[in-house]
Amino acid sequence: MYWIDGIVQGILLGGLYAQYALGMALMFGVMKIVNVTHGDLVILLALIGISLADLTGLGPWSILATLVPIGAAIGWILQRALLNRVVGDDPLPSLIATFGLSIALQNAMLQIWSADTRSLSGGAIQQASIPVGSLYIGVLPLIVLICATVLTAGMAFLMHYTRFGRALRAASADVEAAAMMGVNPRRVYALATAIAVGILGFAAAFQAMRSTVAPSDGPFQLIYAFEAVIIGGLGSIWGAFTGAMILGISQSIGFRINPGFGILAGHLVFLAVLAVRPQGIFKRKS
Amino acid sequence: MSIQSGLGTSTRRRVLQGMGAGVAALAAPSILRAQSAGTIKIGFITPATGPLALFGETDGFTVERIREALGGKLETAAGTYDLQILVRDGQSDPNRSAQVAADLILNDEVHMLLPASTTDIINPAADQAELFGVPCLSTAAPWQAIVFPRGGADQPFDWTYHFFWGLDEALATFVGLWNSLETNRKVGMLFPQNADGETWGSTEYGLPVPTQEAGFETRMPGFFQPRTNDFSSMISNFRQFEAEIVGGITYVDDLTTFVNQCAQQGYRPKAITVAAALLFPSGIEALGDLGVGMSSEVWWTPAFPFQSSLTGQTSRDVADAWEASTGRQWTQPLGYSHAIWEVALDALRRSSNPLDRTANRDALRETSMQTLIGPVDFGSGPHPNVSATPIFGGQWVRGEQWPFELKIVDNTVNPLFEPEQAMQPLPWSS
Repeated sequence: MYWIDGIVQGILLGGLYAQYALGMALMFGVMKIVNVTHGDLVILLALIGISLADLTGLGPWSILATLVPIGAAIGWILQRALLNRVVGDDPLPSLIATFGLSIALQNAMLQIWSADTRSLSGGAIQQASIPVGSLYIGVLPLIVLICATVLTAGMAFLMHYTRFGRALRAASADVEAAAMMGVNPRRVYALATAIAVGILGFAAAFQAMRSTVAPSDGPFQLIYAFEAVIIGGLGSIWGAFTGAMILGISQSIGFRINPGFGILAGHLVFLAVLAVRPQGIFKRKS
Repeated sequence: MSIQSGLGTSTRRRVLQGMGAGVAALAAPSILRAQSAGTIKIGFITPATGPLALFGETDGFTVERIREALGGKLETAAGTYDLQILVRDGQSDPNRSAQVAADLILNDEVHMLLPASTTDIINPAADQAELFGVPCLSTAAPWQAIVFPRGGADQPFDWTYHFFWGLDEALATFVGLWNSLETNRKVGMLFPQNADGETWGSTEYGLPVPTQEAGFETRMPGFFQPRTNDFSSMISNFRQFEAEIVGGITYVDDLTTFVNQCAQQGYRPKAITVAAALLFPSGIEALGDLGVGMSSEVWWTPAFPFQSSLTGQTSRDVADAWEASTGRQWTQPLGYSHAIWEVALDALRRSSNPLDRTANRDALRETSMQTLIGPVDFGSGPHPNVSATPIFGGQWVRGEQWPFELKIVDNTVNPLFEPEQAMQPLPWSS
């Protein structure tokens, strides 16, 4: 039972990581941009959400619904104003640009929100759980997992069955050929980043409800998004989801061996995947 | 190389200082008749920015109040002097702290150095003060963390003095809190895998030692990684052990994750007592409703019955001034931010020559006084450079003016005054 509980809690944890990983997989898959600001954007959105809740008295779900369009707008502006200037075959300029932006954003947030640790009150749902046999499944982690699954499925559908998805895949495969066929890559890129950061609105609201956020927290969750994306296979949507699950379960099992071993266990599995199957579990299609 | 050149500078400087002091002594009678006998310079280093900025906030606030109260003058036993306070931001960074300390000592030629708070700021600055022979006073970090890493266990320091409570007393406070509750006396222990966690979790001198001596059973599943996203394994371990008490040290983010998951997993202990996370009101507010009843060690609250030797304010007055000026709730370091000035200015007032570093050090060493946070006395401490200050056990309860208020509920370590109320079990415990 101890180990079954480990797997169940690991899957729930994987749902959290999947929310982080999804946007990153999209941005990398389409634009080859490794977005180092990813974690800081989660924190920025969470802090905006907490301030909104303080100002307006809105509940956590209304905040979530507001954060997604705010995130999308931030993503769109980010791509239009900055990333479109550095995107290209060479991954280095965008890496450096987002790295710099990450530092600037952390300091800006420190100025605006101070170093205080904050959280978003989710009410009774934060503590609610469903007993299954001798296990307890937290309601909030379950919602996180369901959201992550629906988002992943929605994204996969978007990529494979819509005109926009075709444009995305075309721009990703050969940007010049796609441009000749009438796809405007800059517009497609801006929309892709808008979606990626919009999804972070979910991650932000849930992070602020289940734990706390402070301006310098961003990079700490970034590593899990990276690992999930790489385990699953760079750029694959369901790959990122699977990678997140593998990471979550490895950590959870690791925690049960020793509380200090959990995070290391996740890193070890990540390294093992890199060694055995460097292209990731899901080889990228397209 | 740098050490050698540093020593060279200090030797030359000491000679110059000696000459300067000699000249000052000869000229003293004429100066005494003048309005000001010279300018005393105090170097003040605080973490105003960076992760430790919450400590720096009260330091910065208090410096402004002290400046206002003194009006740039200081009456001393040796006459009236102009007072110049040079404030530097240590940026929560040990390297930066060492840098600004050296700059204050060598270029600004301060007569006393005050690295106000936190280990990261104090230790590097105190090392500089020791190297260049400047009296140095610090607080707001457990004294063992200031004395032992700098080799103070074998040989006392010549120039650096520190007043604060010690780790052993903080641990005894935890045991005192748990003794006051009706439980099965089983404690689950929560320690992160970092310097703080390994100190508190040490089975030789950490929290498990006094806890077991007091007759509690303990369970320590292991050190967890800070910023862990999943505590369910520790929670199921504590539940198996039937721990009715959880104790240790955590930061706010980990405590919030842990407490939310405890509630989700149906684990409801009677007491959660942790250091660090519960120091600031923002930390307890982050826990939301689950924050009611959390307990921790107490440095200082407005309920302390002592008065400031500097301004005559009570603890309540100091807290009210902070709240009126910032619009935010008082925090525990506020009392110590005030007390460090009481001790420093008291030493300068008693100094035979406030412009002489050695005279200031001698005055500092003889400090024996009552401050806002309690008695400070370098003659009676556990270590020649340390004065141990009182510590209490406290519990966060629903407040009237602010969402949460910290009440003193245990005084077993320092029975200087009575607790405000009795310790209550967590309202959501089973």
